Amino acid sequence: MSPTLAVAEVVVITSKETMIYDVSGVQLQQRWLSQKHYISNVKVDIVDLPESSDVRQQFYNLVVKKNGRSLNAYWAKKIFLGKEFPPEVVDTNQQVVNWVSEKAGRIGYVDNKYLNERVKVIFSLSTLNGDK
Amino acid sequence: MVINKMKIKQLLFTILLLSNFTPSYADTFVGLFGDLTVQDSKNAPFNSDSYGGVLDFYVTHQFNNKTTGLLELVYDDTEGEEEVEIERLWLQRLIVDKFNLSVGRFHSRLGSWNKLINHAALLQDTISSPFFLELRGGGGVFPLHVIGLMAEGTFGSENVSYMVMAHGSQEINAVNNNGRFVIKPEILFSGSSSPGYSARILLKNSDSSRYLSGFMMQTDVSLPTGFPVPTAMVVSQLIVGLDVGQQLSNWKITAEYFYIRNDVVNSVASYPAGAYFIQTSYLANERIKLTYRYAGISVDDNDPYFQVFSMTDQSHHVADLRYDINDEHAIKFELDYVDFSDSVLTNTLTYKLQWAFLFD
Repeated sequence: MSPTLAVAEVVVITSKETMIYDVSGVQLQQRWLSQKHYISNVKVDIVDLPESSDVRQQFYNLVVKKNGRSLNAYWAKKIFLGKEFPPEVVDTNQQVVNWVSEKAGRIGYVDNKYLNERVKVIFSLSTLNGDK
Repeated sequence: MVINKMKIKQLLFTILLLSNFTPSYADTFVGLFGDLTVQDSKNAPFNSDSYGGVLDFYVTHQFNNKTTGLLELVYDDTEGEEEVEIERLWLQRLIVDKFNLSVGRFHSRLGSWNKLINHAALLQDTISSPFFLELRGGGGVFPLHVIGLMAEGTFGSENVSYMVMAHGSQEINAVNNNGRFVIKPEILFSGSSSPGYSARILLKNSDSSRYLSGFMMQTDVSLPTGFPVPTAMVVSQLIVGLDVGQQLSNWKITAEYFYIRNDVVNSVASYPAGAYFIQTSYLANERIKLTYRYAGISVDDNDPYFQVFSMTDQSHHVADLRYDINDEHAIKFELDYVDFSDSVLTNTLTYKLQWAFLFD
């Protein structure tokens, strides 16, 4: 019998004050690729976890659908053409939760075990995995 | 803005060594686009067999969450041209939400092509640009760069954007290594010419698959003294245009139209002209794209502005096959058939092959 690996359940969160209640994977993809800056008419700021993070890798594989060199090349072109930059990076899931809860209009993705009462879930990657 | 070649080469080399072609760190991003291009022509009026390429180095920096800057240096060794130039250099400040002010040297906003297409060959479906907007080898005949102050912003959910700019005039006073005159931007309020101004408004649908833009530019252009303009002359140039784009499944179509009016300053002479292109691309699969473009220009033979560039009525049929090896490398093949219509010039067919790449 092989050992069971703990796989994080990744969710997208925002502060309870933010007037966003539901988002689609496409909306998140567009926002993380800087193709759109508004979701439900709310200007949204976003943040990333480090490239080494499993949570980030799940989010980018399933939602953003770009990773590694492909993502680097995408940003190289985007930065060159316009005035867009990749999201800022924070080190931990807890920092994402803290950053999101500080101000309305911020969203981030985290392992759902870090959720607290100051944030709400607006998207779950489990809906993409089909194990809702 | 041509600067000392040796210094720039040393600077490029040093920066590339330091960056080791690695991407971004924190808030500074460094990248290098490049290409190698070979071409051969039939019936060309001059020997146009050539090979060469472009290196396009850029660095951007976020000073803080409201201020960003960009420097782009281009080494261009195409069609006999060999030049290192500061292509773009700007500083931008977010004043309030949806409103930015920028200062520096920019691509002029004469349609979406000139705003978006640069010396970075990898970003372009075709090897060449529409001939009147050609950046490579200094081949364009419109003011493709400006130096000045730009205000831009968006309305609503970013479906409507606008840009207004005050900039310096233009001067045609340099002959590149290929014997062509090239048009260069002047700094705002420099020289004796009046400042110029530009505006553009862009509408797009919610998924950006469709857009429509209108634009204008008014600028003075100083013509070089000599043949074909015997005395110093300034032309007040107005360019008004429209551009549209539509993405539909695997098809993409774009078109731009330019109305040009050159009024000779201190004279009643006025010369209208028109230029346009329509381009359609078909994405056969994730690696192969086919593109066809028809571009044309109609000028007054007595217009001193176009006489300087030896520009006559002509149309170009351009067909390209692009193969993307991956996200960082592509190979392109192009056929460019030039029809000089009523001119005594012989129609020409040019073959081009290009390898385009990116180091990020």
